[in-house]
Order: sequence, then C-alpha cells, then structure tokens
Amino acid sequence: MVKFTVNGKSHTFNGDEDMPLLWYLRDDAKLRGTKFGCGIAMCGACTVHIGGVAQRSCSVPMAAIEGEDITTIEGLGNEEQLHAVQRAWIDEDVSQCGFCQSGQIMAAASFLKEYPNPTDEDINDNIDNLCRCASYMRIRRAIHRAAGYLRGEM
Amino acid sequence: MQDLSRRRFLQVSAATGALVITAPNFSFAQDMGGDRYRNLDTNLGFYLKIDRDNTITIGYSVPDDGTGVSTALPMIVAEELDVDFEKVKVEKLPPLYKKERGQRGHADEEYKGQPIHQSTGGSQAIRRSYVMLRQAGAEARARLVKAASEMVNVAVGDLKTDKGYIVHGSNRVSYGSLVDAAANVTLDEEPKLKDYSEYKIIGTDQPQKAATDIAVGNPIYCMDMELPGMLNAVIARCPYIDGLVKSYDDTAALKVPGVRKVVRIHRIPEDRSKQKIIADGVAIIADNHWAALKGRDALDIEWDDSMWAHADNAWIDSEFDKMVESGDREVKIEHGDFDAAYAAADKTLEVAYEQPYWAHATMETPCGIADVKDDKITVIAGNQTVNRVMNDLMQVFPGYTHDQFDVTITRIGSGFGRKFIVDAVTEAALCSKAAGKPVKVIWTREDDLEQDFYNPKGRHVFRGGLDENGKIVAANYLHCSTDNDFAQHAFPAHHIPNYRGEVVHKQVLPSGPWRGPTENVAGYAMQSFVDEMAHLAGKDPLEYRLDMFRETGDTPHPGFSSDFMRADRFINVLQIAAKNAGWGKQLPKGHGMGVASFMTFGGYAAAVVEVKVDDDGTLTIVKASGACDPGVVINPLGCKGQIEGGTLDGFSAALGQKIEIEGGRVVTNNFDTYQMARIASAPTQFDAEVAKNNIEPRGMGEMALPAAIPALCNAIYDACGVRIRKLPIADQLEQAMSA
Repeated sequence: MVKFTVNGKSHTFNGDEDMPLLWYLRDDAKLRGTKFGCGIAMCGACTVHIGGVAQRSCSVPMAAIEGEDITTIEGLGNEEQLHAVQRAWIDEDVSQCGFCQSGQIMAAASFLKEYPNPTDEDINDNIDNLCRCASYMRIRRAIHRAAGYLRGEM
Repeated sequence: MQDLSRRRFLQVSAATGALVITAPNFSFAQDMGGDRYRNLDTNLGFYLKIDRDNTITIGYSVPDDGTGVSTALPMIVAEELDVDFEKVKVEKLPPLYKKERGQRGHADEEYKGQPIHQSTGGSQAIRRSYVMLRQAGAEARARLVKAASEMVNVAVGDLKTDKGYIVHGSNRVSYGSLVDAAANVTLDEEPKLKDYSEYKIIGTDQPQKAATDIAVGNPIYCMDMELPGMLNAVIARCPYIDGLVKSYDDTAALKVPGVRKVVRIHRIPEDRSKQKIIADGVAIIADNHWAALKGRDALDIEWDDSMWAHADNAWIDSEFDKMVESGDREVKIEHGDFDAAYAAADKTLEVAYEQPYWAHATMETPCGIADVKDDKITVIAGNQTVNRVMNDLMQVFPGYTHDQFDVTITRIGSGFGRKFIVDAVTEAALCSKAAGKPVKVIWTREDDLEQDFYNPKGRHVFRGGLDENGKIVAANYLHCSTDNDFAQHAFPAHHIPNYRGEVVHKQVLPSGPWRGPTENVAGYAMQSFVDEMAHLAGKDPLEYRLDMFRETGDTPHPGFSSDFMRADRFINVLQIAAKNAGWGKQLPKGHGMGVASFMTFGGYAAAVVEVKVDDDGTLTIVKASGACDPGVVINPLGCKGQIEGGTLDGFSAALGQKIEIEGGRVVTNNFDTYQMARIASAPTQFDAEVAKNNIEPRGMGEMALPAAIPALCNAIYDACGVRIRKLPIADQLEQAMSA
C-alpha cells in the first residue's frame, strides 16, 4: 500500500505499484488537468509537483511516492483563486490548443521558486516543456509576468 | 415565425424562454466529394441565445484546435448584435448532420444559402462563417429593435443599441426583456450589415475565451472525457508500412490483471494498395489505460512486414534520383519556352532542395470514445470535422442512419490536419462493439509517430536562368515527392516568362494534410530558389522580390480559397516585416538576415529572420518579424499568436524534425528521437503584425509557416554563406564551419 497526499488530501493506493503517477491521477483520482504527452518524460505535459518540485508524473511509479505530497494543476489554484502563474498565463493570452499548458504552468511555478528574478537564459536552461503550438514567445513573457506578480509588483 | 424567405436559413424561436437564432447546416462534407460523404442532415442548432436575464450566449460551430475560432467566431456574431463581448458566454454548438449532398460554391459565393461551417482546417473557419455569422447577429439585433419600437411606439430609426441594451434618449431596455416580442415581430426588410468602418468588436484584441479553463486544468479535451461504464483500450498496430498481423498469442496478455478482452482489428481499407485509415492490429481492452498497456506489452505478435521491408529514407532518395533521370513526369504548368530561354540565359543555376517526412505530433495524441449499441452510436471525439466522424463510422457500421448518432466534438489538443483522420474513434467503436461497453482508445506517442499521416518527403529540383539584367527569364521546377502535391501557381511561377512546373511522385508512408499542405514545403523550396537567384544576380533579396511583384502585378491563383494573387498585398506584408526587422541595417559580425513571403489559402505572409552563426556553427535565431494579411482581422491578439506559433512551428520543423525509417518502419517514435524545438530555440525578439484592410477575411492558422522556413534558411546564408538545401538543418552548420 502506498500512502501520499494529492492537493492536501490523503490518498492510499493498493494496485500495481509500477503504474506511473500520471495514470493514477487521471484514471483513479479523476484529476484530468495533468496530461499525457509522451510517456518518457520528454515533453512535460504531465508535470506535477512532488514535495513542491516539478516532476514528470508519466515516469514516476506509484512505488516512488510513499509519503510524498503531490500537487496537481487543480491544486495550484482555481477559477476563484488563481495562482500567480495561472493569472500570468491568462493575462498574456498564452494558450493556443492549451493541452500542454497545465504542465507548462506547473513547471514555471516550480522554476520561479528557485529563480524569482529569472533571465531569459535561466528560462532557456531550465524550462524545456514541449508546446506543439510553439506558444513559446508568450510562455516566456508569462513567466516574467508571473515573477512580477509573485514579487508583488502587479 | 420564418418571415423572410430570402434568409430562410435563419430560424427564430422563443419557445424555451430565450430568443434563439438558429440555422441549418452547411457541411464541409460537401467539399470532400464522393459517396463517403453523403450522410449529412439539416437539423437545427443555435447561433445565439438571449435569456430574459440578458445573459447572452453565442455558439460556435467549429471545433477549436488552438487557432482561436471559439473566440473569433462569436466575436463576429457579437459585432452585429452589439453586446459587451467580455460578458458574452460562448458555447460549442452541438454538431449538425445533413442528409443530402449540397452544391459546392466557390470562394465568396459559397455561403449563399448554406449556413453553418463545422470544420477546422484549410484555414477556412473564419472565411466560411464571416457573412453568415454577421447575418445571424444582425437578424437578432433588428428583431430586438423592432420589438422595442412596437413596445414603446417609437420609430425604429430613433432607437440605438449599446452593449446589450436598446437605447432611446436616456431610457435603456435590456435585450433580455424583449426576447418574447422579438421572436414574434415581422421584419420588413433584410437587416443591413455594418460597414467595416463601424466595427467595434471585430478588430479588437480579445483574449481566448477558453484561457481560464486551460489555466486551471479543467477537463475539456477528448482524452479527459468518459462515458459511464467505460473501458480503456490500446492497440498494437502493425509498425511496418501497410503490414499485417501474421499471427498472435494473447495468453499472457489475458492474464494481466484488469485486461478484459483481446480483439483483432482489421486494416481499413482491406486493399493494401490504398492508403490505410485503420492499421492492422490487435486491441487490448482493459479496466484502465495502464492495464491495457501492460496487456499490450504481454502480447506476442508476429507481423507481416513484406510489403515495404526495403523502404528507408536512402531508398526513397534513390527513387527520387530515378525520377529526375527518367523524365517521366506530369507537367502542371507551362508558359513561354523554358528550354530556349534557359539555353540563352546569361547565368544559370541548377539546384535541389530536400525535406524529410514530418509528423504532426499533435500534443494530445489521437484519442476517441465510442459506445456502440444496437440502436445508437454515441461518440466523443477531438476531431477537426464532425461530418467525417459520422460518415466514416457509417462506412464501418453500415446499418446505422445519421439520426442514430450522438456525436460530441471536444476542444482539440492540436490538430494541424492530423485530426481530419477518423481513426482513433473508429477503433474505439470497433472495440466497443466487441466489448459491448463504451470504450476509450488512447494512442501512445509511439503509436502516434509510427502511424501518422506524414507530410510528404520531397526533392525540389530547379533550373533557373538570369538575363544580363539579373532578371529570372527561365525556370524549371521539378517536384519529386511521396505525394502528388504541387504548388503550381505559387510565386514566382507567373513572374517568370519562360516557366515549367512538373511533378512526379511515389507514395511510401501514408500522407495527409499537415499545416499548410503543399505550401509548407513549396515555400521553403521556391523562396530559397528566388533567394539564390537574387544572390546570383548580385541584387538585394528584398528589393529583388519587390521588383518582381511590381513588374508582374496580380497573377492567377485558381484554387483553394483564392482566384488570384495580389501584388500590392505581397508588397505590403514584405515591407511591414522588413521595416520591423530593420532590413538593410548594419548587422554585428556573424549575424545575417533573410526574407521570404508566401500566400497560403488566400492569406499573405512575409517573414524576416535575423540569425547569428558562431565560428563553430552554433545557430541562434535572434529575431523574427512576421507580417500577415488575411483580410479583415477578427482578433488581432489571436492572429499575432498564430504568426508567432506558425513561425516557430516552421523553425521547429526546419531545425530538427525528421522521420527516420528502417526496414519499412518508422523508428523515430517519441520525442527522444523526433526532435521538436523547445523554448530555448525561440528568438528573444519577435514582431508580429497584421495588415489592416477590409477585404473579406481568410484564415490565419496556416499563413505564417511557409514563409518562416525559407526566411530562416536565407538568413543563415546571409550570416555565414552556408546554403541550406536539405532539411532538417540539424548539425549542418557545425559540419560546414569545421570543414
């Protein structure tokens, strides 16, 4: 049995511990904001926070999350109380198809904890989530904008 | 309540306590031709709904795969209706089916009597909805004004509207309070549409209506949906081109906990000389996706790989060699006397440009949900056109009629042409039929990249001749391709007096539309060629192009979404992009600038790219300037997003994307080997600008890419003298600079 929390709530899991966390979140917990994109941790569509740090949930087996605190996009913020990164994404009108964006937002939220004043180079070196629509110009602007929000500037 | 025969397509009702304007369907299926597309109907859906509490809901008929039509289409209705767009709710219209095949109109006439367009692709959503949606909004507004005029006994001409209210002096009456009366008034004449100069919503920046749903991770895509009691399936599809299942053993697979059933899926069509729609394979149906994957891993399958075991990229290249040598080709366009003019030319250039197969790699892999019952088929799909979903399923399940279908089309996790193909949902239906329960089929990324309908691989062979003034007097363009595609009227076909365009093809991998089909590689080839000719002539590449447009003027361009190509619009977008880029300015050492332009589906695009190439061949894209002229711009914010995304998508394809084939199967089957650009490849500076005019609109989804790739290649040449004649660019610069 694996015990962990998802968005602050206790969860237990008794199934196949080889199963990636992604499919637990999507199929068992019915949290569909975390997306499947590649299954080999190359695209980042499945990014969640484990212990506050961005991880690619498609490649994290259930056996590895004993005692961990998981945060998904649904736990980052909601319509009534948006996280600064979500607000920046909306304000920069980032999304095209949108399918990768919850992973992008989770990656950015984690990144900004470590780089509260990021340069473009910091972003290039640390964010490599795939956006198939190539909305990268606005993702970059939104990360800078979110950094400002988190610093309380806007 | 249908009082206007001239606009009989609009239907009005207040039966549900709201004013509802609806219209019968016009289906994309009519365009597709053939018997496969005959089963469509004339149900009613709504364009807009005004509730008594003045809540205004505007429907959009076209699924949104990221081009922003779920915002832009309602903006068009809202413009004529005169409402506060920020407060408007938007909803996807339930799909409509049509029984009879209609007639296909051409260009601007096609909307007449044929209202709703329900397909995204071909950059058509705006173009084919623009007039109809304005008429729907104008109809509602005229009815509300008439109802108010009768209620307060004031002449219609003395009433104005303002953001959801009828205004008379200082009195304001909400639209919502007039819905019952508005449904029952008689209009004496067809409501007049606004002039372009009166627009208040069209042409303003509007953020995507779905932005918040996306940012908070709401379940809005096909992959997020479920039906009660649903099972999950994955399919082991034959990885070899046109291959088959020879035999399989499912003993171990059936022992995997959660696996319910193993089902043979047969190739569609059966005839292997025709391109597959459904690959031959074996489906594992399980309680959840993970169990299905484990079951698939446990399957023991022997494949028949005999058809294309010899096929790889080198073999296709050798086939292209034979095509070039054989002289057996189809002439698509010819004017003047190429052979004589080429022989007499002052300077000549013979050159070939090549590109590999590209995959769509849609962010949301193909996915479909179906529940096949004896009397009904329920489907949830993230496909680009509802009618093809219905019609393809009717081919596979011939006993069902259109009114036995319930199709939901969700937001699409990107399409790029891939999701015209109705494969995942057909597979789901076949599994559902076998399992007797609803089934969702999710493709893994490996499935997606192995079984795609790829953008064709090709070689573009040019022979060009200059006269003593440096003008191109002769050109022969031979396109060797894996598909019978050819951009015969693209610039500069009609700008060269002695010209021949010809194509020869041999299909290998399945092919399908990929963002700007045909144009995407024609742009790269033709605009690289023009650039080389400009350099051969010793002319500035921008002025060289501008001169060609100025001298030749408008040129014929019969076909999809256009009749001719306008020189002034090309000149305008080229000048916008050049101005934003600072064309002609002194650049730092190692920097270079390249320019290109292209018309795709009636929309004009230009790109100027600035790059830096270091001594070791390291390439940095410094800045991109993209300008597009699609005609009337509905949502500039969204259009600029398409310029940015389309340009960077082109860079991504050019920089690293290449499908590798070994022994008749695609081996670049995930993002570790199929290289797509990330944020680090994007320039830090980007100017996106849309031209302003009142020409009837075309689409934006496919405009930017065909000019972006050659602008990048031309910039690389300007920076370091290395001419990119083979995509992807990959490590070519490192190789060249170290040589």
